[in-house]
Amino acid sequence: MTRRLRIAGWLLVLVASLLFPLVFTNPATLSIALVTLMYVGLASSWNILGGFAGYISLGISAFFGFGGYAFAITLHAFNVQAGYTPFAWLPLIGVLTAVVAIPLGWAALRTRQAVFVTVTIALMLVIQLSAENLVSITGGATGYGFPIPNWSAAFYYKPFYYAMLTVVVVSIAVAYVVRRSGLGLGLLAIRDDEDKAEAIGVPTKSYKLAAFVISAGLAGMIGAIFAYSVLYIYPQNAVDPLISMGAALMAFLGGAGTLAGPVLGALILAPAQTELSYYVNGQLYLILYGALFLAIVRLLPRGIIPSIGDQLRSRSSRHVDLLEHDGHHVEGRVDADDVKVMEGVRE
Amino acid sequence: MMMSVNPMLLELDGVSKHYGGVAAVDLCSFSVAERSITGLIGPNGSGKTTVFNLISGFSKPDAGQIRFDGKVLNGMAPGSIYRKGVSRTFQMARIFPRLTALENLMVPVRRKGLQGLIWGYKGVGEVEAAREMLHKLSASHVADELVGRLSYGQRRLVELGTLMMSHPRMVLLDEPAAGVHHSVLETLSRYILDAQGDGVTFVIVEHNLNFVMDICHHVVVLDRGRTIAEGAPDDIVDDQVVVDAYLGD
Repeated sequence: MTRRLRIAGWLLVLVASLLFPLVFTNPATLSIALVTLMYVGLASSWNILGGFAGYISLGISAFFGFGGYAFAITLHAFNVQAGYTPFAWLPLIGVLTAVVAIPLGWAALRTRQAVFVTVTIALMLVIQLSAENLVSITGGATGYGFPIPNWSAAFYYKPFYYAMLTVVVVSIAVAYVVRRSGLGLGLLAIRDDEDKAEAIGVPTKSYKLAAFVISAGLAGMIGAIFAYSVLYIYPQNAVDPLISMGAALMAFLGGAGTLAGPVLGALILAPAQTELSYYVNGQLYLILYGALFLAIVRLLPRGIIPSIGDQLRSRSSRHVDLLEHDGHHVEGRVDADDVKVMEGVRE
Repeated sequence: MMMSVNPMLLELDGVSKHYGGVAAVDLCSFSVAERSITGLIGPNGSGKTTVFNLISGFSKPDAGQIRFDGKVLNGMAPGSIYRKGVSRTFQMARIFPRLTALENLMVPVRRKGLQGLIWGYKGVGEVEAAREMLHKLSASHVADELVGRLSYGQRRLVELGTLMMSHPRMVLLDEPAAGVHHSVLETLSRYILDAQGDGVTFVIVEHNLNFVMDICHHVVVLDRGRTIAEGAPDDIVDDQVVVDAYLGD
Protein backbone atom coordinates (compact mmCIF):
# COMPACT_ATOMS: atom_id res chain seq x y z
CA MET A 1 0.00 0.00 0.00
CA THR A 2 1.29 3.39 -0.85
CA ARG A 3 1.78 6.02 1.78
CA ARG A 4 -0.88 8.30 0.34
CA LEU A 5 -3.48 5.55 0.30
CA ARG A 6 -2.70 4.75 3.90
CA ILE A 7 -3.10 8.36 5.05
CA ALA A 8 -6.36 8.58 3.11
CA GLY A 9 -7.59 5.43 4.86
CA TRP A 10 -6.82 6.83 8.31
CA LEU A 11 -8.48 10.16 7.49
CA LEU A 12 -11.56 8.38 6.19
CA VAL A 13 -11.91 6.39 9.42
CA LEU A 14 -11.38 9.55 11.48
CA VAL A 15 -13.99 11.57 9.57
CA ALA A 16 -16.45 8.67 9.74
CA SER A 17 -16.00 8.41 13.51
CA LEU A 18 -16.40 12.18 13.91
CA LEU A 19 -19.68 12.15 11.95
CA PHE A 20 -21.05 8.92 13.44
CA PRO A 21 -23.02 10.44 16.38
CA LEU A 22 -24.55 13.03 14.03
CA VAL A 23 -25.89 10.33 11.71
CA PHE A 24 -26.78 7.62 14.22
CA THR A 25 -28.51 9.45 17.03
CA ASN A 26 -30.13 6.46 18.71
CA PRO A 27 -28.65 6.26 22.26
CA ALA A 28 -28.52 2.45 22.09
CA THR A 29 -26.42 2.62 18.92
CA LEU A 30 -24.21 5.28 20.47
CA SER A 31 -23.58 3.19 23.56
CA ILE A 32 -22.36 0.34 21.32
CA ALA A 33 -20.21 2.85 19.42
CA LEU A 34 -18.72 4.05 22.71
CA VAL A 35 -17.77 0.50 23.73
CA THR A 36 -16.32 -0.10 20.25
CA LEU A 37 -14.18 3.03 20.52
CA MET A 38 -13.09 1.95 23.96
CA TYR A 39 -11.84 -1.33 22.50
CA VAL A 40 -10.11 0.43 19.60
CA GLY A 41 -8.18 2.46 22.17
CA LEU A 42 -7.48 -0.49 24.46
CA ALA A 43 -6.31 -2.76 21.63
CA SER A 44 -4.06 0.02 20.30
CA SER A 45 -2.48 0.70 23.68
CA TRP A 46 -2.19 -3.05 24.36
CA ASN A 47 -0.35 -3.26 21.03
CA ILE A 48 2.50 -0.99 22.21
CA LEU A 49 3.67 -3.68 24.61
CA GLY A 50 1.99 -6.83 23.26
CA GLY A 51 2.39 -6.16 19.55
CA PHE A 52 5.67 -4.26 19.32
CA ALA A 53 7.63 -5.95 22.12
CA GLY A 54 5.77 -9.28 21.95
CA TYR A 55 4.94 -9.23 25.65
CA ILE A 56 1.39 -10.59 25.72
CA SER A 57 -0.57 -9.09 28.60
CA LEU A 58 -3.95 -10.50 29.57
CA GLY A 59 -4.28 -8.01 32.38
CA ILE A 60 -4.72 -4.61 30.78
CA SER A 61 -7.99 -4.14 32.69
CA ALA A 62 -5.86 -3.78 35.82
CA PHE A 63 -4.97 -0.32 34.54
CA PHE A 64 -8.34 0.23 32.87
CA GLY A 65 -9.93 -0.34 36.27
CA PHE A 66 -7.31 1.61 38.19
CA GLY A 67 -7.96 4.61 35.92
CA GLY A 68 -11.69 4.33 36.57
CA TYR A 69 -11.25 4.29 40.35
CA ALA A 70 -8.62 7.03 40.28
CA PHE A 71 -11.04 9.20 38.25
CA ALA A 72 -14.00 8.64 40.58
CA ILE A 73 -11.94 9.26 43.69
CA THR A 74 -10.18 12.33 42.28
CA LEU A 75 -13.44 13.94 41.16
CA HIS A 76 -14.87 13.35 44.60
CA ALA A 77 -11.79 14.55 46.45
CA PHE A 78 -11.60 17.83 44.51
CA ASN A 79 -15.35 18.19 44.47
CA VAL A 80 -15.46 18.47 40.67
CA GLN A 81 -18.95 19.16 39.37
CA ALA A 82 -20.66 16.87 36.87
CA GLY A 83 -20.63 17.82 33.20
CA TYR A 84 -17.66 18.55 30.97
CA THR A 85 -15.12 19.66 33.59
CA PRO A 86 -14.23 16.10 34.69
CA PHE A 87 -12.80 15.43 31.21
CA ALA A 88 -10.11 18.06 31.87
CA TRP A 89 -8.76 15.79 34.62
CA LEU A 90 -8.11 12.90 32.26
CA PRO A 91 -4.44 13.65 31.52
CA LEU A 92 -3.76 13.60 35.27
CA ILE A 93 -5.44 10.17 35.51
CA GLY A 94 -3.26 8.94 32.66
CA VAL A 95 -0.09 10.12 34.40
CA LEU A 96 -1.22 8.68 37.71
CA THR A 97 -1.90 5.27 36.18
CA ALA A 98 1.45 5.35 34.39
CA VAL A 99 3.28 6.14 37.64
CA VAL A 100 1.58 3.23 39.42
CA ALA A 101 2.50 0.99 36.47
CA ILE A 102 6.24 1.65 36.95
CA PRO A 103 6.85 -0.65 39.95
CA LEU A 104 4.27 -3.19 38.72
CA GLY A 105 5.89 -3.32 35.28
CA TRP A 106 9.34 -3.51 36.78
CA ALA A 107 8.31 -6.64 38.68
CA ALA A 108 6.21 -8.26 35.93
CA LEU A 109 8.81 -7.71 33.20
CA ARG A 110 11.36 -9.83 34.99
CA THR A 111 9.47 -12.75 33.45
CA ARG A 112 8.92 -13.71 29.83
CA GLN A 113 6.39 -15.40 27.58
CA ALA A 114 3.91 -17.73 29.32
CA VAL A 115 5.09 -16.67 32.76
CA PHE A 116 4.58 -13.02 31.87
CA VAL A 117 1.05 -13.77 30.64
CA THR A 118 0.28 -15.47 33.96
CA VAL A 119 1.81 -12.63 35.96
CA THR A 120 -0.37 -10.06 34.15
CA ILE A 121 -3.49 -12.10 34.95
CA ALA A 122 -2.42 -12.26 38.59
CA LEU A 123 -1.76 -8.52 38.56
CA MET A 124 -5.29 -7.90 37.33
CA LEU A 125 -6.77 -10.08 40.06
CA VAL A 126 -4.67 -8.32 42.69
CA ILE A 127 -6.05 -4.95 41.57
CA GLN A 128 -9.60 -6.34 41.64
CA LEU A 129 -9.09 -7.79 45.14
CA SER A 130 -7.64 -4.48 46.31
CA ALA A 131 -10.67 -2.64 44.98
CA GLU A 132 -12.89 -5.05 46.87
CA ASN A 133 -10.99 -4.91 50.14
CA LEU A 134 -9.74 -1.33 50.49
CA VAL A 135 -13.28 -0.39 51.47
CA SER A 136 -12.45 3.02 52.95
CA ILE A 137 -10.92 4.17 49.64
CA THR A 138 -12.89 2.31 46.97
CA GLY A 139 -16.22 1.65 48.65
CA GLY A 140 -15.52 -2.07 48.50
CA ALA A 141 -18.03 -4.32 46.80
CA THR A 142 -20.73 -1.64 46.70
CA GLY A 143 -18.52 0.59 44.63
CA TYR A 144 -18.17 4.30 44.05
CA GLY A 145 -20.45 6.75 42.26
CA PHE A 146 -19.61 9.55 39.83
CA PRO A 147 -21.22 12.99 39.81
CA ILE A 148 -24.24 12.69 37.52
CA PRO A 149 -24.32 15.08 34.54
CA ASN A 150 -27.57 16.83 33.76
CA TRP A 151 -27.81 15.62 30.14
CA SER A 152 -30.88 14.45 28.29
CA ALA A 153 -31.14 10.75 27.38
CA ALA A 154 -30.81 11.53 23.67
CA PHE A 155 -27.66 13.61 24.21
CA TYR A 156 -26.11 11.60 27.02
CA TYR A 157 -23.57 9.45 25.12
CA LYS A 158 -22.26 12.17 22.81
CA PRO A 159 -19.83 13.87 25.23
CA PHE A 160 -18.46 10.48 26.27
CA TYR A 161 -18.17 9.42 22.66
CA TYR A 162 -16.09 12.45 21.69
CA ALA A 163 -13.97 12.28 24.84
CA MET A 164 -13.27 8.61 24.10
CA LEU A 165 -12.52 9.42 20.45
CA THR A 166 -9.97 12.01 21.58
CA VAL A 167 -8.16 9.53 23.82
CA VAL A 168 -8.32 6.89 21.07
CA VAL A 169 -6.72 9.28 18.56
CA VAL A 170 -4.04 10.04 21.17
CA SER A 171 -3.45 6.31 21.69
CA ILE A 172 -3.03 5.63 17.98
CA ALA A 173 -0.81 8.69 17.59
CA VAL A 174 1.35 7.53 20.50
CA ALA A 175 1.60 4.05 18.97
CA TYR A 176 2.60 5.65 15.65
CA VAL A 177 5.30 7.81 17.25
CA VAL A 178 6.65 4.85 19.21
CA ARG A 179 6.68 2.65 16.10
CA ARG A 180 8.81 5.16 14.20
CA SER A 181 11.19 5.92 17.07
CA GLY A 182 14.37 4.31 18.26
CA LEU A 183 12.29 2.96 21.13
CA GLY A 184 9.95 1.24 18.66
CA LEU A 185 12.79 -0.31 16.68
CA GLY A 186 14.26 -1.59 19.94
CA LEU A 187 10.89 -3.07 20.96
CA LEU A 188 10.54 -4.88 17.63
CA ALA A 189 14.06 -6.24 18.06
CA ILE A 190 13.08 -7.47 21.54
CA ARG A 191 10.04 -9.19 20.04
CA ASP A 192 12.20 -11.03 17.50
CA ASP A 193 15.14 -11.99 19.74
CA GLU A 194 15.46 -10.37 23.14
CA ASP A 195 18.83 -11.89 24.07
CA LYS A 196 20.36 -10.80 20.80
CA ALA A 197 18.94 -7.29 21.23
CA GLU A 198 20.40 -7.13 24.72
CA ALA A 199 23.74 -8.39 23.42
CA ILE A 200 24.01 -5.63 20.83
CA GLY A 201 23.36 -2.90 23.31
CA VAL A 202 19.59 -2.30 23.21
CA PRO A 203 18.60 -1.23 26.75
CA THR A 204 15.92 -3.91 26.83
CA LYS A 205 14.83 -3.45 30.44
CA SER A 206 14.08 0.26 30.17
CA TYR A 207 12.51 -0.10 26.72
CA LYS A 208 10.11 -2.79 27.91
CA LEU A 209 9.24 -0.78 31.00
CA ALA A 210 8.60 2.31 28.86
CA ALA A 211 6.21 0.33 26.65
CA PHE A 212 4.46 -1.14 29.70
CA VAL A 213 4.02 2.25 31.34
CA ILE A 214 2.82 4.04 28.18
CA SER A 215 0.34 1.27 27.50
CA ALA A 216 -0.94 1.40 31.09
CA GLY A 217 -1.34 5.18 31.12
CA LEU A 218 -3.47 5.12 27.98
CA ALA A 219 -5.59 2.25 29.31
CA GLY A 220 -6.11 4.25 32.52
CA MET A 221 -7.61 7.20 30.67
CA ILE A 222 -9.85 4.92 28.61
CA GLY A 223 -11.07 3.17 31.76
CA ALA A 224 -11.75 6.53 33.38
CA ILE A 225 -14.05 7.68 30.56
CA PHE A 226 -15.84 4.34 30.48
CA ALA A 227 -16.43 4.34 34.25
CA TYR A 228 -17.73 7.92 34.12
CA SER A 229 -20.14 6.97 31.31
CA VAL A 230 -21.71 4.18 33.39
CA LEU A 231 -21.67 6.53 36.44
CA TYR A 232 -20.82 3.80 38.86
CA ILE A 233 -17.68 1.79 39.42
CA TYR A 234 -17.36 -1.47 41.33
CA PRO A 235 -14.71 -4.23 41.27
CA GLN A 236 -16.46 -6.39 38.65
CA ASN A 237 -17.11 -3.75 36.01
CA ALA A 238 -13.81 -1.95 36.62
CA VAL A 239 -11.45 -4.91 36.44
CA ASP A 240 -13.08 -7.29 33.97
CA PRO A 241 -11.02 -10.22 32.61
CA LEU A 242 -13.22 -10.18 29.50
CA ILE A 243 -12.06 -6.67 28.66
CA SER A 244 -8.43 -7.77 29.01
CA MET A 245 -8.94 -10.75 26.74
CA GLY A 246 -11.07 -8.76 24.32
CA ALA A 247 -8.37 -6.14 23.80
CA ALA A 248 -5.71 -8.79 23.16
CA LEU A 249 -8.00 -10.84 20.91
CA MET A 250 -8.92 -7.83 18.78
CA ALA A 251 -5.28 -6.89 18.33
CA PHE A 252 -4.49 -10.48 17.29
CA LEU A 253 -7.38 -10.60 14.84
CA GLY A 254 -6.36 -7.40 13.06
CA GLY A 255 -2.64 -8.04 13.34
CA ALA A 256 -0.56 -7.46 16.46
CA GLY A 257 2.45 -5.25 15.89
CA THR A 258 0.85 -3.28 13.05
CA LEU A 259 -0.71 0.14 13.59
CA ALA A 260 -3.99 -0.54 11.79
CA GLY A 261 -4.41 -4.13 12.98
CA PRO A 262 -5.77 -3.49 16.50
CA VAL A 263 -8.08 -0.76 15.14
CA LEU A 264 -9.51 -3.09 12.49
CA GLY A 265 -9.80 -5.99 14.93
CA ALA A 266 -11.71 -3.86 17.43
CA LEU A 267 -14.01 -2.40 14.76
CA ILE A 268 -14.97 -5.95 13.75
CA LEU A 269 -15.10 -7.76 17.08
CA ALA A 270 -16.42 -5.18 19.54
CA PRO A 271 -19.80 -4.62 17.82
CA ALA A 272 -20.04 -8.35 17.03
CA GLN A 273 -19.50 -9.17 20.69
CA THR A 274 -22.27 -6.80 21.76
CA GLU A 275 -24.66 -8.13 19.10
CA LEU A 276 -23.89 -11.67 20.14
CA SER A 277 -24.71 -10.94 23.78
CA TYR A 278 -28.12 -9.63 22.65
CA TYR A 279 -29.18 -12.68 20.69
CA VAL A 280 -27.62 -15.46 22.69
CA ASN A 281 -29.05 -16.32 26.07
CA GLY A 282 -27.14 -15.69 29.26
CA GLN A 283 -23.42 -16.24 29.28
CA LEU A 284 -23.45 -18.62 26.31
CA TYR A 285 -21.87 -15.94 24.14
CA LEU A 286 -18.69 -16.28 26.19
CA ILE A 287 -18.28 -19.82 24.87
CA LEU A 288 -18.74 -18.60 21.31
CA TYR A 289 -16.21 -15.90 22.05
CA GLY A 290 -13.72 -18.53 23.23
CA ALA A 291 -14.33 -20.57 20.08
CA LEU A 292 -13.65 -17.47 17.99
CA PHE A 293 -10.36 -16.98 19.85
CA LEU A 294 -9.32 -20.51 18.90
CA ALA A 295 -10.40 -20.05 15.30
CA ILE A 296 -8.37 -16.86 14.91
CA VAL A 297 -5.23 -18.39 16.38
CA ARG A 298 -5.72 -21.44 14.16
CA LEU A 299 -6.66 -19.81 10.86
CA LEU A 300 -5.11 -16.34 11.01
CA PRO A 301 -2.20 -16.65 13.42
CA ARG A 302 -0.66 -13.39 12.29
CA GLY A 303 -3.87 -11.41 11.87
CA ILE A 304 -5.68 -9.78 8.97
CA ILE A 305 -3.34 -6.89 8.11
CA PRO A 306 -0.08 -8.95 7.94
CA SER A 307 -1.89 -11.63 5.89
CA ILE A 308 -2.95 -9.02 3.34
CA GLY A 309 0.63 -7.72 3.35
CA ASP A 310 1.86 -11.24 2.58
CA GLN A 311 -0.54 -11.51 -0.34
CA LEU A 312 0.70 -8.25 -1.83
CA ARG A 313 4.32 -9.18 -1.27
CA SER A 314 4.03 -12.64 -2.81
CA ARG A 315 2.44 -11.05 -5.87
CA SER A 316 5.43 -8.74 -6.26
CA SER A 317 7.90 -11.60 -5.78
CA ARG A 318 6.13 -13.56 -8.53
CA HIS A 319 6.81 -10.53 -10.64
CA VAL A 320 10.53 -10.86 -9.91
CA ASP A 321 10.30 -14.53 -10.82
CA LEU A 322 8.90 -13.79 -14.27
CA LEU A 323 11.52 -11.14 -14.79
CA GLU A 324 14.31 -13.60 -14.10
CA HIS A 325 12.79 -16.25 -16.35
CA ASP A 326 12.73 -13.69 -19.09
CA GLY A 327 16.48 -13.26 -19.25
CA HIS A 328 17.90 -16.48 -17.88
CA HIS A 329 16.79 -20.01 -17.43
CA VAL A 330 16.21 -20.40 -13.71
CA GLU A 331 14.52 -23.38 -12.17
CA GLY A 332 12.72 -23.55 -8.87
CA ARG A 333 12.46 -20.84 -6.30
CA VAL A 334 14.50 -17.71 -6.81
CA ASP A 335 16.37 -16.95 -3.63
CA ALA A 336 18.28 -13.85 -2.75
CA ASP A 337 21.68 -15.34 -3.56
CA ASP A 338 20.56 -16.26 -7.04
CA VAL A 339 19.13 -12.81 -7.60
CA LYS A 340 22.44 -11.35 -6.56
CA VAL A 341 24.36 -13.65 -8.89
CA MET A 342 22.00 -12.80 -11.70
CA GLU A 343 22.35 -9.11 -11.03
CA GLY A 344 26.06 -9.61 -11.37
CA VAL A 345 25.44 -11.24 -14.75
CA ARG A 346 23.31 -8.33 -15.84
CA GLU A 347 25.98 -5.80 -14.93
CA MET B 1 55.51 -11.74 10.61
CA MET B 2 54.31 -8.15 10.66
CA MET B 3 51.31 -8.96 12.84
CA SER B 4 53.41 -10.12 15.76
CA VAL B 5 54.56 -6.60 16.57
CA ASN B 6 51.01 -5.51 17.33
CA PRO B 7 50.08 -5.60 21.02
CA MET B 8 47.77 -8.35 22.22
CA LEU B 9 44.14 -7.25 22.24
CA LEU B 10 42.63 -10.44 23.64
CA GLU B 11 44.30 -12.80 26.09
CA LEU B 12 42.95 -16.06 27.50
CA ASP B 13 44.86 -17.34 30.47
CA GLY B 14 44.13 -20.86 31.78
CA VAL B 15 40.41 -20.55 31.05
CA SER B 16 38.20 -23.53 31.98
CA LYS B 17 34.51 -24.28 31.70
CA HIS B 18 32.88 -27.48 32.93
CA TYR B 19 29.39 -28.73 32.18
CA GLY B 20 28.62 -31.33 34.78
CA GLY B 21 31.67 -33.56 34.79
CA VAL B 22 32.69 -32.67 31.24
CA ALA B 23 35.40 -30.09 30.65
CA ALA B 24 34.26 -28.20 27.54
CA VAL B 25 37.20 -25.83 27.86
CA ASP B 26 40.18 -26.99 29.87
CA LEU B 27 42.97 -24.60 30.89
CA CYS B 28 42.82 -22.94 27.50
CA SER B 29 45.30 -20.15 26.78
CA PHE B 30 45.95 -18.13 23.66
CA SER B 31 46.29 -14.51 22.57
CA VAL B 32 44.98 -12.48 19.68
CA ALA B 33 47.03 -9.60 18.30
CA GLU B 34 45.35 -6.28 17.61
CA ARG B 35 44.35 -5.83 13.94
CA SER B 36 44.91 -9.50 13.19
CA ILE B 37 42.62 -12.14 11.75
CA THR B 38 42.94 -15.17 13.97
CA GLY B 39 41.44 -18.55 13.11
CA LEU B 40 40.19 -20.83 15.85
CA ILE B 41 39.96 -24.39 14.54
CA GLY B 42 39.63 -27.88 15.91
CA PRO B 43 37.52 -31.01 15.60
CA ASN B 44 33.85 -31.06 16.62
CA GLY B 45 33.42 -30.73 20.35
CA SER B 46 36.86 -29.21 20.86
CA GLY B 47 35.33 -26.22 22.66
CA LYS B 48 35.52 -23.49 20.02
CA THR B 49 31.99 -22.18 20.43
CA THR B 50 32.25 -22.44 24.21
CA VAL B 51 35.36 -20.24 24.03
CA PHE B 52 33.28 -17.69 22.09
CA ASN B 53 30.50 -17.89 24.67
CA LEU B 54 33.02 -17.26 27.44
CA ILE B 55 34.64 -14.29 25.70
CA SER B 56 31.31 -12.66 24.82
CA GLY B 57 29.83 -13.22 28.28
CA PHE B 58 27.09 -15.68 27.28
CA SER B 59 28.57 -18.13 29.77
CA LYS B 60 30.93 -17.60 32.70
CA PRO B 61 34.32 -19.30 33.01
CA ASP B 62 34.89 -21.52 36.05
CA ALA B 63 38.56 -20.66 36.19
CA GLY B 64 41.18 -18.55 34.44
CA GLN B 65 41.13 -15.03 33.14
CA ILE B 66 39.94 -13.40 29.92
CA ARG B 67 41.42 -9.97 29.23
CA PHE B 68 40.42 -7.56 26.50
CA ASP B 69 42.70 -4.59 26.00
CA GLY B 70 44.21 -5.36 29.40
CA LYS B 71 40.87 -5.37 31.25
CA VAL B 72 39.37 -8.50 32.78
CA LEU B 73 36.07 -9.52 31.15
CA ASN B 74 35.23 -12.42 33.52
CA GLY B 75 31.73 -12.15 34.94
CA MET B 76 30.60 -9.21 32.77
CA ALA B 77 27.18 -9.33 31.07
CA PRO B 78 27.04 -9.73 27.26
CA GLY B 79 25.71 -6.17 26.89
CA SER B 80 28.64 -4.68 28.84
CA ILE B 81 31.21 -6.70 26.90
CA TYR B 82 29.55 -5.54 23.69
CA ARG B 83 29.89 -1.94 24.82
CA LYS B 84 33.61 -2.52 25.37
CA GLY B 85 33.84 -3.23 21.65
CA VAL B 86 33.56 -7.03 21.44
CA SER B 87 30.89 -8.30 19.03
CA ARG B 88 30.01 -11.80 17.96
CA THR B 89 27.93 -13.70 15.42
CA PHE B 90 26.17 -16.98 16.11
CA GLN B 91 26.40 -20.35 14.39
CA MET B 92 22.79 -20.10 13.27
CA ALA B 93 22.76 -16.46 12.17
CA ARG B 94 20.79 -14.61 14.82
CA ILE B 95 18.95 -11.77 13.18
CA PHE B 96 15.60 -10.07 13.70
CA PRO B 97 13.52 -12.00 11.14
CA ARG B 98 10.49 -9.71 11.07
CA LEU B 99 12.50 -6.55 10.52
CA THR B 100 13.90 -5.50 7.16
CA ALA B 101 17.64 -5.73 6.49
CA LEU B 102 17.90 -1.96 6.84
CA GLU B 103 16.01 -1.97 10.16
CA ASN B 104 18.20 -4.81 11.44
CA LEU B 105 21.27 -2.69 10.84
CA MET B 106 19.81 0.25 12.72
CA VAL B 107 18.93 -1.68 15.89
CA PRO B 108 22.35 -1.33 17.56
CA VAL B 109 22.77 2.38 16.80
CA ARG B 110 23.33 4.23 20.07
CA ARG B 111 20.75 6.93 20.55
CA LYS B 112 21.33 9.73 22.98
CA GLY B 113 18.72 11.36 25.18
CA LEU B 114 14.99 11.69 24.79
CA GLN B 115 15.26 13.13 21.32
CA GLY B 116 17.10 10.10 20.03
CA LEU B 117 14.56 7.86 21.71
CA ILE B 118 11.30 9.50 20.71
CA TRP B 119 12.21 11.16 17.44
CA GLY B 120 11.98 9.08 14.32
CA TYR B 121 15.20 7.19 13.73
CA LYS B 122 14.90 7.74 10.03
CA GLY B 123 16.50 10.91 8.77
CA VAL B 124 19.31 11.47 11.27
CA GLY B 125 21.96 9.89 9.08
CA GLU B 126 21.24 6.40 10.37
CA VAL B 127 19.54 5.25 7.19
CA GLU B 128 22.43 6.50 5.07
CA ALA B 129 24.98 4.74 7.28
CA ALA B 130 23.00 1.50 7.14
CA ARG B 131 22.65 1.70 3.35
CA GLU B 132 26.36 2.31 3.03
CA MET B 133 27.05 -0.78 5.13
CA LEU B 134 24.70 -2.92 3.02
CA HIS B 135 26.44 -1.62 -0.07
CA LYS B 136 29.83 -2.70 1.30
CA LEU B 137 28.36 -6.14 1.88
CA SER B 138 26.90 -6.24 -1.67
CA ALA B 139 23.45 -6.56 -0.14
CA SER B 140 21.86 -3.25 -1.17
CA HIS B 141 19.17 -5.02 -3.18
CA VAL B 142 17.73 -6.71 -0.08
CA ALA B 143 17.62 -3.55 2.07
CA ASP B 144 13.83 -3.48 2.34
CA GLU B 145 13.24 -7.24 2.49
CA LEU B 146 12.20 -8.89 5.74
CA VAL B 147 15.33 -10.70 6.84
CA GLY B 148 13.36 -13.85 7.68
CA ARG B 149 12.76 -14.21 3.94
CA LEU B 150 16.41 -13.99 2.94
CA SER B 151 18.67 -16.89 2.13
CA TYR B 152 20.99 -18.18 4.81
CA GLY B 153 24.04 -16.47 3.31
CA GLN B 154 22.30 -13.13 3.08
CA ARG B 155 21.22 -13.43 6.70
CA ARG B 156 24.83 -13.92 7.72
CA LEU B 157 25.78 -10.76 5.85
CA VAL B 158 22.99 -8.85 7.59
CA GLU B 159 24.09 -10.23 10.96
CA LEU B 160 27.66 -9.12 10.33
CA GLY B 161 26.54 -5.72 9.04
CA THR B 162 24.44 -5.21 12.17
CA LEU B 163 27.48 -5.82 14.36
CA MET B 164 29.72 -3.59 12.29
CA MET B 165 27.30 -0.65 12.57
CA SER B 166 28.49 0.05 16.10
CA HIS B 167 32.19 0.01 15.15
CA PRO B 168 33.43 -2.88 17.30
CA ARG B 169 37.15 -3.28 17.96
CA MET B 170 36.99 -7.05 17.86
CA VAL B 171 34.55 -9.34 16.08
CA LEU B 172 34.06 -13.04 16.83
CA LEU B 173 32.65 -14.91 13.83
CA ASP B 174 31.17 -18.35 14.56
CA GLU B 175 31.37 -20.49 11.40
CA PRO B 176 30.70 -17.66 8.94
CA ALA B 177 31.29 -19.90 5.92
CA ALA B 178 29.02 -22.81 6.90
CA GLY B 179 26.23 -23.38 4.40
CA VAL B 180 26.93 -20.16 2.55
CA HIS B 181 26.79 -19.65 -1.23
CA HIS B 182 30.26 -19.18 -2.75
CA SER B 183 29.42 -15.68 -4.03
CA VAL B 184 28.49 -14.62 -0.50
CA LEU B 185 31.70 -16.20 0.78
CA GLU B 186 33.74 -14.01 -1.54
CA THR B 187 31.88 -10.92 -0.37
CA LEU B 188 32.49 -11.98 3.21
CA SER B 189 36.27 -12.49 2.77
CA ARG B 190 36.65 -9.20 0.96
CA TYR B 191 34.65 -7.40 3.63
CA ILE B 192 36.63 -8.96 6.50
CA LEU B 193 39.95 -8.04 4.88
CA ASP B 194 38.76 -4.46 4.29
CA ALA B 195 37.56 -4.07 7.86
CA GLN B 196 40.79 -5.54 9.20
CA GLY B 197 42.63 -2.96 7.10
CA ASP B 198 40.57 -0.32 8.90
CA GLY B 199 41.76 -1.63 12.26
CA VAL B 200 39.20 -4.24 13.29
CA THR B 201 40.43 -7.48 14.90
CA PHE B 202 38.72 -10.73 13.91
CA VAL B 203 38.60 -14.15 15.53
CA ILE B 204 37.01 -16.79 13.33
CA VAL B 205 35.76 -20.26 14.26
CA GLU B 206 35.48 -22.19 11.04
CA HIS B 207 35.46 -25.72 9.64
CA ASN B 208 36.14 -24.59 6.10
CA LEU B 209 39.94 -24.76 6.32
CA ASN B 210 40.49 -23.21 2.90
CA PHE B 211 38.63 -20.13 4.06
CA VAL B 212 40.67 -20.03 7.28
CA MET B 213 44.02 -20.52 5.54
CA ASP B 214 43.15 -17.85 2.96
CA ILE B 215 42.38 -14.99 5.25
CA CYS B 216 43.86 -15.71 8.70
CA HIS B 217 47.24 -14.43 9.86
CA HIS B 218 47.37 -16.67 12.87
CA VAL B 219 45.69 -19.98 13.65
CA VAL B 220 44.94 -21.48 17.06
CA VAL B 221 44.08 -25.19 17.19
CA LEU B 222 41.90 -26.53 20.00
CA ASP B 223 41.36 -30.13 20.94
CA ARG B 224 39.30 -31.27 23.93
CA GLY B 225 39.23 -27.74 25.26
CA ARG B 226 42.97 -27.12 25.14
CA THR B 227 45.24 -25.22 22.82
CA ILE B 228 47.31 -27.89 21.08
CA ALA B 229 49.05 -25.75 18.49
CA GLU B 230 49.22 -22.20 17.21
CA GLY B 231 51.12 -20.40 14.52
CA ALA B 232 51.01 -19.18 10.95
CA PRO B 233 48.52 -21.05 8.72
CA ASP B 234 51.28 -22.68 6.68
CA ASP B 235 52.98 -24.10 9.76
CA ILE B 236 49.72 -25.41 11.18
CA VAL B 237 48.79 -27.58 8.20
CA ASP B 238 52.11 -29.40 8.48
CA ASP B 239 51.89 -29.88 12.25
CA GLN B 240 51.65 -33.57 13.12
CA VAL B 241 49.75 -32.91 16.37
CA VAL B 242 47.04 -31.09 14.42
CA VAL B 243 46.77 -33.80 11.82
CA ASP B 244 46.41 -36.39 14.61
CA ALA B 245 43.73 -34.37 16.36
CA TYR B 246 41.69 -34.09 13.19
CA LEU B 247 42.11 -37.64 11.98
CA GLY B 248 42.11 -39.29 15.37
CA ASP B 249 45.13 -41.00 16.83
